[in-house]
Amino acid sequence: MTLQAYQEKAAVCWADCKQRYAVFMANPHLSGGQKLAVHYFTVAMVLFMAQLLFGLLAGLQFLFPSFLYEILDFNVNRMVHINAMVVWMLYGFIGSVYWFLEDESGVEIVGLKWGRLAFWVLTGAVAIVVLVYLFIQFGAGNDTSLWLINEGREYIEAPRWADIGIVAVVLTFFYNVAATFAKGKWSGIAGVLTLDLVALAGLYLAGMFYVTNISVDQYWWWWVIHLWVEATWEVLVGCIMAWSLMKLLGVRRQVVQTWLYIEVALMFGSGILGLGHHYFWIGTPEYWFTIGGFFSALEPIPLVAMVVHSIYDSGVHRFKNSNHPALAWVIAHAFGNFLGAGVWGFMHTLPQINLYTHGTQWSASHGHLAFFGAYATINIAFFYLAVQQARGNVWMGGDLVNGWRWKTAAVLLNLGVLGMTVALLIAGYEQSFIERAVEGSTWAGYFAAQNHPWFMQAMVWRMVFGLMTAAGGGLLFWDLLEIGKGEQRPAAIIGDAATAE
Amino acid sequence: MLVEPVALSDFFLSFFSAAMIILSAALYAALYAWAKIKTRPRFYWGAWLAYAALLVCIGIFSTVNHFTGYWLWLSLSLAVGYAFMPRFIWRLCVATHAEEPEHSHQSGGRHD
Repeated sequence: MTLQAYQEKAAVCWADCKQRYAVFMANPHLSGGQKLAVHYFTVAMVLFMAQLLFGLLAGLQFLFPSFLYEILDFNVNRMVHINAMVVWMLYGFIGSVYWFLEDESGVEIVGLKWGRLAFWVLTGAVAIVVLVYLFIQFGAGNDTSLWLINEGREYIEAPRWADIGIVAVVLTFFYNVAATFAKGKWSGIAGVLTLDLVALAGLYLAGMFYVTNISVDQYWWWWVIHLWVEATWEVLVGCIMAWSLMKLLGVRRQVVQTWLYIEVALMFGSGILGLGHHYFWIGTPEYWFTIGGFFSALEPIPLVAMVVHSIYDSGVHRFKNSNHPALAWVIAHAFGNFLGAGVWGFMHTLPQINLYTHGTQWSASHGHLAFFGAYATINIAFFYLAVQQARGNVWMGGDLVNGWRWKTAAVLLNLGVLGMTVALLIAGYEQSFIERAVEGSTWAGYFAAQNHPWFMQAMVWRMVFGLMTAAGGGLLFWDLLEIGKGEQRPAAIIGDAATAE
Repeated sequence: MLVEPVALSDFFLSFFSAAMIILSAALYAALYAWAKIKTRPRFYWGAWLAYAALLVCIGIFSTVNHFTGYWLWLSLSLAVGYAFMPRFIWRLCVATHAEEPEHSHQSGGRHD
């Protein structure tokens, strides 16, 4: 094929994309805010696929250490894998809030143009940061590289110019949310959401300054990593869930808002000082052993409390709903959050055992199931709610055309992540046993653990389940593009029918 | 150092008892709630059995993690907290749903 033929093909492709985009922007079923939300959801799904791809590459490098060596090194693959995860979660959350903002406030979004601009700025910045991650990650670290290439902090490696951009975008988002609610109606969800966004933007600042004392540096870094994830994200997801449950199950506003307040109290009560479990080994005072241990032990209590409410609702209301795929993912959220954050977290949270497990594959095992269960599932559930509305609020109950697709995707993704979690648990157990307890955290111990058959076999199984997860992710992507197309039946109304029992 | 690490021989017991604390607490909570919904005494027996298992797990967990002094407050908090939390949450469930009319569920909710 000649260059001219490629150019012609690209031009046709571009024209097709522009036409599809114009059709989407003319969708009569969506409001301005919801169209903006779909932009966020689309990028979120692309980043989810990137997360899976780079996770597979990093997983392969455990099995074949020379694979892509000095072309796409493990540190780069791991960095893109984790950063893609963090960013697609944020895209999903921001999109979800934009989706329900007009419905919840009763007015149009005040600064929709600013919201659109912020989306394109953020997406452009993410694209540039990923390219820099992939192609320019070598050489000495200095002030210039900190600003332009890599800030050097694990999980939030984005260079400082991008950090400033992220804060600016979140502030724009905050303005849109606060000003829209101020113009329209305030509600319990609105109040909690607005306050949470202040914390979301504010806490990120803690990861943007550099101090030469590594203990102090790590102290503030954990404010972003832990407090974002185990406080502000949890509350943000609580707000999204509250609105989703009203739509999906027809739950009364008063009920979801009361439970949102309870959740905020429980999460903040244990989650904020639970931060202490990250301060065991970074050189902070010893009182963090007690504070971190005690409050970390309390963190699963809200998850156990959730069990009671789940039983109550399933027993009394029997899960009558208007969107089966979304409800399936909400149920996956309940189990995944309970197991990943609750059980897997508590198993190694106290300093008496964390001394051996900290930073081993135990952490990766806990991280995989907790992030998937607590956040990925909720985003996916919301994507299905959005697709239903975008198709004209069509039927998404039983007897869906090609319903096998969402079911298979859900099974593959859930089993895949659970399988990876168990495989990493075995690897982490072996590491904490041999590398830490027997060999005393020496380099010899590190390599002895890495080369142990248990570790190697666990990594093979992690790869098998990783492939299963990737297959599920691909199927999910396909399903979200196709589900509900051509469906003529209207969505089930969760009104009288839902309580006729 | 303020803590004495788990002995090598107790690794599995520590992990397993920790997991079982959360799982038996969840089972206790689930059976308690189910017993309330179904009003069948045998589920209460199941709930109390799960709670007894929870207490055993807390005992093992506290022993292998060398809990002494104020660390024992954590054991007590787990035992008492998980005993009363399901009851507290159940009361909240009933109270928050108390004003719910028989056929009032409307998609989208309303601003009360």
